[in-house]
This record gives sequence, structure tokens and C-alpha cells, in this order.
Amino acid sequence: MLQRILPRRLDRQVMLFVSLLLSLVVPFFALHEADKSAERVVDSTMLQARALAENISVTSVEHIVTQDFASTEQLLLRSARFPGVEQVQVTDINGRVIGDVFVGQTGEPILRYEAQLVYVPGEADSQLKQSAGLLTVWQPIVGANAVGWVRLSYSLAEAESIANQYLHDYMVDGLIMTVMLIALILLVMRRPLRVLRDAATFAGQLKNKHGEKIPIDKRSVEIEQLGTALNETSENLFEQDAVIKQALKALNTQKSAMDEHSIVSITDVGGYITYANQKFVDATGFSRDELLGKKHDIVKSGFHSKEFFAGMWATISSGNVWHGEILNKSKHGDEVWVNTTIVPFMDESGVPYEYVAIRTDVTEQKKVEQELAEKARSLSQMTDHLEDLVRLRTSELEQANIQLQHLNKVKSEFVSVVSHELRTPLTSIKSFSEILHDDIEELDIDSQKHFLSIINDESERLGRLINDLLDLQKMDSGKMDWNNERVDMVALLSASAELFSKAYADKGLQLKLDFIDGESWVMVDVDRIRQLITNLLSNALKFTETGSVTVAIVNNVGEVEVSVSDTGLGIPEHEIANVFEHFHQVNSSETREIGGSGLGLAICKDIVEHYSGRIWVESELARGSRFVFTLPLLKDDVGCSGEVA
Amino acid sequence: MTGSQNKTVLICDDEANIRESIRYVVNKAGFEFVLAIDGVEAYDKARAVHPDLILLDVGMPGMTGFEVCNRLRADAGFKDVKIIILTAYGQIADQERAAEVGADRFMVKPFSPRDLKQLLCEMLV
Repeated sequence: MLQRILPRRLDRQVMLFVSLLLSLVVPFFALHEADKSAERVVDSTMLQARALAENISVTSVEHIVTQDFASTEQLLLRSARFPGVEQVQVTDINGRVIGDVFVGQTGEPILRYEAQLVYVPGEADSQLKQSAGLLTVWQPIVGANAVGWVRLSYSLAEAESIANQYLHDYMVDGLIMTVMLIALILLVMRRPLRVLRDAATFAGQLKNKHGEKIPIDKRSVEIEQLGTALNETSENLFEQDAVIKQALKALNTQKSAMDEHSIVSITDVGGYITYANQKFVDATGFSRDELLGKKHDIVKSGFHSKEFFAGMWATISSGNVWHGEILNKSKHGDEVWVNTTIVPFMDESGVPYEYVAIRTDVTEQKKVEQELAEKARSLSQMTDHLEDLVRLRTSELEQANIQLQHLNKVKSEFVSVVSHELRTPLTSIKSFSEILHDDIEELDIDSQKHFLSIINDESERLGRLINDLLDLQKMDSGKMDWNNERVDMVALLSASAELFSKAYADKGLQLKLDFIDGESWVMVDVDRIRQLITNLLSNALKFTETGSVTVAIVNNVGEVEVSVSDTGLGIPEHEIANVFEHFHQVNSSETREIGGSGLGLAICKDIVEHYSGRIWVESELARGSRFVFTLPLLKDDVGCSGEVA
Repeated sequence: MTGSQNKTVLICDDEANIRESIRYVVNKAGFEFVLAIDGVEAYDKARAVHPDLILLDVGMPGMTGFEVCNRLRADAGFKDVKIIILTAYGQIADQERAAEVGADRFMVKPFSPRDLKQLLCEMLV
């Protein structure tokens, strides 16, 4: 309230204060002085009035005694001419008026002739009574004894007028003094106030004028101190300015360097973005306006778990620095990997008030890392695959090696067996030819013939063996000429059986034919199929001592099936699987006795398999064997091949 | 051509023609002979006849000549019996095997009857 009323400027405040003070003091002083002066005037008036009354008293004694009332009246008229006198009366001792003069309107004394009795004081001493601007003096008139009273009414108006004049004068003087005092104070205060004002102005402008100085006024210790302090402050501020500028410059350089390198943003404790540098803007694709005030998860990619971010917030909100790699997502959906450091900034009480995040774009690095990992993985896969391949190849090679070793062994055995088989007929040939050569003279003709027929048989056997070997070799190496033609298996079988009929009959065996009514057309090399049938029929003949051999032919779906069943020795179960192998003969003295190249069934198997047919044997020891083979029928002739038996 | 020396030879071969040629040679040399058509028969006849010399083929069904030889040599009574392995298997391994099983001689087929006769005479006279 007071501050609103008071002027703000100090000089005006001083002026106001002095004015108020003087305007209170000066009237008081003037009134006081005027009052004292008025008292003095009244006192002097009283003295005057008393003196006049005494004078009248003294003068009038004789008149009263002499009864000279005219002189008394004259005396009263003269006395009434004194300024201030209102009325003057002379009475006898009892209060009977002897002379009475009053001052009329015009100021002239007028003698009154009214006989009247007035109240007189009881005491014989002079008395002074003051009331309503009128001073009344009772002065006893004393000769030999008291004879009467003088009553003088004296107007105090004159004295009051004088007192008022004093008051007026004092007031005027006080006013003049006040003005002069104010002027003097202002004059005296003017300079210090100006200096103060300048200092205030200077202080007010100091923020813009660091280092500037104010002139020191040494006339006042306080002002000098103020100026010195201001100058020191200014100087300090200037120095601090320089330091701050230097620091700011360094900071700015660092900041711009950091901004050049890093993606920087600042968020408040709520995660709202308060600052984003250009790189942040560039990296995220959002404008600065879109970013500021937004939650930082505006760039969240969804790649990381909630726990990941919870851990991050737990770290930074407890005032610790967080490091890590984060996958962010730009406005346009691009994924950006950033290597991030988040530094919490804390207030005095150690509570974070903002977080500064500095990031480096490591997307390319990540990509390279991922590619490398991918490559490493695929390399590892390739290596694994390669190792698998190597293992596979190794195993294949091992298998091949085993097979080769086996083949080598088989080959060695084959060579050994072949040479054995070749030497066997050769042995007989050699022996008997040498015997014949040495002992021809001693031997009778029958023996000679017998030996020669042995030589002949063994030579034929040798020849067959060589032929079989050559056939097998040709078939195995694919060099056999297959002269295929349409052949009716029924007719071919019939013709072949016919050739064996004599041999079977000679051995006392029955050769039965169990043929279909019709034809079985196949596309084969007649010589090879004949060889096949011949081998089977000659085997049956060789291994059957009694009973019969039955040749059967049936047409199955798409193939013709031929079987040769005997009532011979049969084949032990464990040998069945081996009968089609080279040089394999069932181990028994009987079979060896019967002889054979041991290659016949192997040749049969090769022929049948050449035509995609099958060959197998069903056998029971002592009951007989049944050799069966199939050959594919010519498709065109399936329909007209006749009824199946 | 009678067996004046009264020595017996066991002839064992599964090939009839070869058996016959050997029989001719043995007979011509003047020795008694016994025939066997396979290994099992050879072993049995050897134990039955106690021949002075045995001519053993190798590749025979039932029991090979090596087995026959081995089993006979295991019997103390056949320690001094002359045994000739006569085979169409003419490899070094076969020859070594013959020595292992205790054969005295090893002869490869085809053989010369002349040589065989001479060998028999050498070993039995």
C-alpha cells in the first residue's frame, strides 16, 4: 500500500519525507512560538491595564475625597483614550458608580450617567479577571483608608491580534525555512543521489556491460565502497564472461563435434523427448516437431523384450549410465541398430531430471556381423555337409575298397579255380597221351582206344570249359553279340527237348513235356536261349538217376515261365543261394563224379537277366529240384499267344 | 608188373580219369593200390589199409586232401607214411600249405606219369 503511494525515486522520497516532516514540525513550532508571544502580549497588556488602573486610582483619591466628580470624569475620559480600554468606572467603596466611561463604536470615549450599583470585590486588593477576550482589573482607591474602586475593562482583542500576527509570521517563516531546507537538502543530496542513481543504472545495465567501470565518487565512503564493489563485480563478471564464453565455446565445439558423430537426444524423466539433434532427425525420419514432446518409444522397433527396456530404465533411473545396442525403427519402417549410451543428469538431491542418450549408428556393422554370422553358419553348414560328404565318400570308398578287395579276392580265386578247372582235363589228356606214347607197344588195342577216348572226352570238356569261360567273359564285359529275333518259346523248347530225348532214354529217365496249347513269342537270341535250355536239361540229366524230368511252359501276365523239374538229388538249403555262382557245384562226391564246368548255371543267370527275366531254383534234398526262368513276352503277341495252360 | 615189392599205394582223386591214369602208373611201377574217390573215403581207407604211400588230390568234396593229410599226421601210426600231394592248385601258397600239413612231396597237375613213376620208386624202394 505504502509502496504504491511512495514515489520510486529515492530523491523524491527524500523530498517527500522532508516535506512531510517539516510540514508537521514547522506549524507546531510556529504555533508554539505564537502562543508564547501571545502570552507575553497579554501579560504586557495586563501590566499596562494594572498600571492604568493604579494611575486612575491614585489620581482619583483626592477627587473622591473632595467630591470633585468632574475631574474624575475628565480623568476617566482621558484614560479611556488609551488603546484597548473598553470601559473604565470609578465607584465608592460600596460599589456606587461615581464615573463611568465606555468606548463607543466610533472609538470615542462616552461618559455615561447612569446611577447604578455594581458588585465590588470583598478584598481590598487589586484583582484581575480575564474572560471572553476581556480583561477586567479591580483596583482599590486608597487614601487614608479605602474610598472606592477603579474598574477597568480592557479589551484583549488587540493582544490576540498581535498573537495572530505572530502566528502568521511564524508560519510564513517556517514555510520559507521549509522550502529553503528542502532546497538545501536537495542541493546537498543531489550529487550523492545522482551517483547512486548512476550506480543503480550501471548496476541495472551491468549484465550487458561486463567489464565497464563507473567513476568512483570519493566524497562518501559508502558511495566509494559501492562504486568500488560495482567495478569489482563488473570486472569479475567480465572475467567470468571470458571463462564462460571459453567454456561455452569449448562446449559448443564439443557439442557440434558430437552432433557430427552421434545421434543425440535428451528426454525428461517421463521419457518425453526434449531435444533431438539433426542426426537423430535424419536417422529416425521424423521432423523435430514430430519428435519433441513425444515419448521416446516413437522409434521403438518391437525387437526387444519388455524386460530389456525395464532393465534399461532401472539402470538410468537409479542414476547409473546404461550401455547397449538397440534396434530402432524409423518413421519409414527402416530398422536402425544404434550403439547407445544413456547418461542420467541428476539434481542436487541425486534424483535424475533428464537423460541424455548418445548413439552411434551400427546398422551396417550389425549387417556385416549378421552376414558374417550367416556366412559362418553357412560355412559351418557347408563344412558339415562337406564332412558328411567326405564321410559318405570315405564310407563309399571303404565300401568300394572292400568290394575291390572282395573282387580282387574273387578274381584271384576265379583265376585259381579256372586254372584248376583247366588243369584237370589237361591232366588226363597229358597223362594218357604220355602213357600212350611210352607204352603204345605194350598196350592192347582196347586199352589204347579207351585211353584215346578219355583224351578225346577231356579235350571236349576242356573245349566246353573254354567256350563257357569266353561266353561268361563276353556277357560280363558286355561284348556278347545278341542276335535278337522273334522266337516262339514253345517251339524252341520242344526242339531242344527233342535233342535230349535219346540221352534221357539211354539213362532210363522219362522226359515229360507239359506245354501250353499255343505260342509264347519272345524277342531273344535263339542260340543263347538254346544254350540256357540245354544247360538246364543236361544238369537235370546229370543229377537225376531215376524218375523223370518234366519241362513245362506257361504264359503269365507279360512273361513266359519255363521250368525244368527233376526227381534227382536235390540241393541242400544252404547251397541254393550259391548255385548260380561261377564254378559252384554242390559239394558232394557224386556231383564231382558227374563233372561239369561249374559255369553252366552262371551262364544261364547271365542270359536270363540280360532279357530282364528271372531265374531261381526250388529244391528239396532227395526229392529233386525245379529250375525256373521267365522271359518277357512280346507285347504285341500277348493277346494272340493263346490260352494259358 | 606184379607188386613184387609188396608195397601199397592209396590213390585218392575225385576225377575218375585222373584216378585211372594214376592207377596205371602205380600198377606199372609194381605196387599194390587202393582207390578212394574223395577225402572221407581216403581217410577211412588209409586207416583200414595202412598204405605205404598216399597220393592225395586236394580239391575234393567232403574233405580236402590237406585235411586228410593233417588228420593222418596227427595219428602217431601215420607218422612215417609217405604222402604226396598231387594237385591242380599249383600256387606257392598251396605248396606251403602242403608242407604245413606234413606232406612229403608236392606235385602239380598235369603231371608226367614218367616222373610220378620215378618218384614212387625213389620213395618206396
